Amino acid sequence: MFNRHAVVSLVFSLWFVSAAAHGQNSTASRPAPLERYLPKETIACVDVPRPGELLHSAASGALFSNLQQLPEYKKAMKEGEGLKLLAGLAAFRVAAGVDFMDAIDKVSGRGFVAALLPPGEKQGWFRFPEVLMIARGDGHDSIINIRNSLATFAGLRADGEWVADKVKIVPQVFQKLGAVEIVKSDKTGCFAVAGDVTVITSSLPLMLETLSRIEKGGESLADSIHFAPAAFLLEGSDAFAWLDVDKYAADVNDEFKKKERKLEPAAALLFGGIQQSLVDSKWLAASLHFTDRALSMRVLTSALPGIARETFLPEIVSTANVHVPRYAGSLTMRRDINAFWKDHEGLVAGELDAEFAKFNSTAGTIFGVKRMDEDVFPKLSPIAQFVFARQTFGELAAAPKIKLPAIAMVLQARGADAKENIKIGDGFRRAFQTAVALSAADAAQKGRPALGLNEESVGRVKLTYATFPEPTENEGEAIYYNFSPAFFSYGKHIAIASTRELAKDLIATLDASKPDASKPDASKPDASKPDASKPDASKPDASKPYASSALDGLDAAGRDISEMLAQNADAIIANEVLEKGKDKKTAERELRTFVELLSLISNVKFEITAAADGFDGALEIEWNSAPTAAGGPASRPARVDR
Amino acid sequence: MTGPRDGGVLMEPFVPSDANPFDAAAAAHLLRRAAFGPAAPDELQRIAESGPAEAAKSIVRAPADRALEELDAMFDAIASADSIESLRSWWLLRMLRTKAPFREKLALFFHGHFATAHRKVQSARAMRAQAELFIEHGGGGFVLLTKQIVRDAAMLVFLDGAKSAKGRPNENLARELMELFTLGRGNYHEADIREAARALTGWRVDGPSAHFHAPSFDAGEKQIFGRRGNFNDNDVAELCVAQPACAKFVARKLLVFYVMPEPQAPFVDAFAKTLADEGFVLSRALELLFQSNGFYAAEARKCNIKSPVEFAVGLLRSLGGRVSGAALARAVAEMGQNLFDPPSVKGWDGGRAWIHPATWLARTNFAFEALGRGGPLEREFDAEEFVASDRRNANSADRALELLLQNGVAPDVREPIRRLEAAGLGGARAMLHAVVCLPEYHLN
Repeated sequence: MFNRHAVVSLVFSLWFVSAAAHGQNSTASRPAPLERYLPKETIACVDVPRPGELLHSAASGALFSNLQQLPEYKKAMKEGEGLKLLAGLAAFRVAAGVDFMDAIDKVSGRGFVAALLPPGEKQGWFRFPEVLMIARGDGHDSIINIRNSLATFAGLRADGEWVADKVKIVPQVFQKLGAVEIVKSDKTGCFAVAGDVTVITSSLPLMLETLSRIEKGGESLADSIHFAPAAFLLEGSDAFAWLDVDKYAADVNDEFKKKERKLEPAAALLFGGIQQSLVDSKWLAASLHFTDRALSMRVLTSALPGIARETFLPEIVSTANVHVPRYAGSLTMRRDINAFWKDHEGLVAGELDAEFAKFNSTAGTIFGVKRMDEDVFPKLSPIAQFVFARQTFGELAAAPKIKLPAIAMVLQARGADAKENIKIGDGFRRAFQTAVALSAADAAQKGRPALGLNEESVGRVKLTYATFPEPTENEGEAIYYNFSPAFFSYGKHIAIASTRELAKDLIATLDASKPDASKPDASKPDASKPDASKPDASKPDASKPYASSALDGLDAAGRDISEMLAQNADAIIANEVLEKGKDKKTAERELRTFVELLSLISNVKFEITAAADGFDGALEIEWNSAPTAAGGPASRPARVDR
Repeated sequence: MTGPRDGGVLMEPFVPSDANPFDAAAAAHLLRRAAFGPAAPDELQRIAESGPAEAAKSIVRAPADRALEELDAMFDAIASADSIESLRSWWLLRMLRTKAPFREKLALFFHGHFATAHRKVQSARAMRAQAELFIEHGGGGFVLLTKQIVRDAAMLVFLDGAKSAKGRPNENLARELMELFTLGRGNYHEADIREAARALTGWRVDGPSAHFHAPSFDAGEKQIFGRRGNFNDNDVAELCVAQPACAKFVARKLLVFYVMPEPQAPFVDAFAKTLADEGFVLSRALELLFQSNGFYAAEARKCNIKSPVEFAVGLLRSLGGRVSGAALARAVAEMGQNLFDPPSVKGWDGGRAWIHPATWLARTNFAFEALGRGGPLEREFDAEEFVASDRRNANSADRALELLLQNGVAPDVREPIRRLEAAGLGGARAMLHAVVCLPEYHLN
């Protein structure tokens, strides 16, 4: 027989413990997300869940630390606008009694949201929307103190003279709603503090409605069918933005969606339907996430146009290793030219059909095939990589005055048949040789130096390239000495480069990344070494071929780009002086500042992927490391993937 | 427009009198013609106080402005890009910033006289070399300049001299040399052109420069203007300039550019004599012209319509402030004068051809942008501050008129501007714009 009393005690104990555990996570004890206070009619909003924390970590992070070391920053802080900023911050402290950052914490430490709402009045094709701002802070009294201090502070003129009659020191109470006092500024805005929530609106009716929602709840933006799919982005983000595109077009900007949506083939091919998606989307959302070393941003659209769905969602393919020496960046694009070509009759306007047909046969002649759409496009993999690299100009007697980066396009043949790949490569080689010959003929007619064709072997690869003749005394620094176009095909890779140097570097890089059966795979950790680090599955090793579903990808090395700018400083400064009429010193200072800022960034990476119902763009900017302040910010949670 | 009839008096030094003083208006007239107009009120005062002879001397003999070397170095840094747009910016910025505007203005004259166009030459560096030739040597001997222009790369390409060779001489360069550059129609024979074309063979162009290619040169004997010899390009230039018609031809062109659209024969003859007496050294001849009776005659005042370059550069020099060179070049082109691309080998027609509805609109729009801040010209200019800088007048209308027109307006023209101020419409910018839109402002 069981002890009834013990059982009841055990049940109650268990119930009590689970309730306590649940209570810690229950929504009843957690404050409501601020979107619960926004009306359902909201057109756009920006949400910063922890503004104070964000500012603190930015101020103590690596980027700001590096920024403070820059000579231009130090100079700016000692004069002009920098000095005014420091003086302003000091004056704020005196007026408010707290530091600016602490004030931000107290007023909005637990969240800030700003929203645009449908306008009250119509004024032509653009109607100014209503504005609503809500912040959740520390507590009612501290917020009221800061409010009053700010009002006092706002009464000071820019030159520091006190103007007592401009703003009332203690704002006048305009209306009361229960215990909440609503104050009105000299213009139209309203301000109120309800508990630990501060509300600022552009009109009184909006203020009353918002305060009612805060107190009593009710339907809100969080319930909107256009908001909910994007709301997951808010979790773990440092800032979030959202826009209802239909409402924006209907309530604010009549012109926004009126533009004729005629499909332009060139734009469609280039952007893969992204521009169409932006116009067709019902909503757009973005999130920001900061760490000590990087800033990540995601942008979602909510429409996937037909052209993207039918044409630009190719199978996953591997990229080639294009990390050549002096690598400055790369752009990867996936476009199924074959599918686009097959469908073009349905996609492009009738008058272009004749142009496409002409191209089909003319280009086919050059390639040595019957038709491009039958003999070439189907055999190409739907991926094109563009790589940018700094040049050494080591092969030239004198470097050009304007030093351009080298650029190469790398394509891949689709099939595994080596003979077929050679045939495709030969076709491209013929096209390259024809293009060079035509250019040389044109140059000769115009009395300009002409390219001359050459060939050499680089290992087992035949490299076809063209160079300008040795420069005369007058021509040595001419801009066209940046170019020595080159072509090669290596296995399934087909590459056209603007310089022979880059082509040779690419051959070496592709060669080095080919898997060697006799050697152990360096990408796999050695199990015999207990401290071997495991590859990060979420971040492909860019120096090795990898498979990705990204539609487009952009990668740029900040330091290399800033070095290229520095190499061309004279030309850039000259351009600023001649084009914009700046004086030399101003142009030099601006370039120096820009180069210094750019050198803070180590890498920029951008990828677009296409999902069933929209595009997902992810941007990551990494900056160079530096020692952070003692007690720096704790590591942040990883972003939540869709 | 008729000029004074007595040629002998025309070129004599102008002696100021009560009826015709050398005052601010006369000084402004000199600065507008010899340069691009007054750059600052104190410059005007200084010129007015110098007297006509000293004033002409100080303007013509101003040494080359070394500060422009920095601008030249800027262009050198991007010269390899061979951008004609950058070249236009470069020259316009030179005109804006120079302390020796006479040199740039004379170069502008030769730019329209020895006209070549980038659309055929296709080399910004060659066009620059030619412009620098005009800037550096325009004030020197006309003979030397002509000798250099017939072997200038841009000219050789433009007039097909680079294709001319022994056995197949191209007559284009020879014809234009005589018809448009030195003598004018009716002062040569076709045979002279054919023989001169033979003498001008042998030149080849390599990028921005030309070189002599002996095998292409026709070294045989030629007969030009009745003289026989194994003439070459230098000889042809000398022979042309030595013709009696040359002095009159060049004198007329200079008078049209600097003095009046239709100078009468006595004035042309008198100035041609001066030109010949001064050995065709243009700076000396022009210095004498700028202190002559004919130059300061009533008929010579406010009778030329400003070219787009004269209008735009003149306005900006008087206003000061930063401007985008590229935007300025585009604006000037819209007004009808695309530097380095004249409509034909005759250059620009000029005069009344500068003004028609489209170009007038371009001028007034340009003026509005030039008087503001930011905008397509990327201006840095404060209209209120500019108007306030005039301390001689009590109201904004008179200040604007003084600063831009040196009070050279009739009362019936002044009144509407004053009424504009009284109506309180638009402030200093509107006031200045109203003045610049007066037809008087567009007359040199």
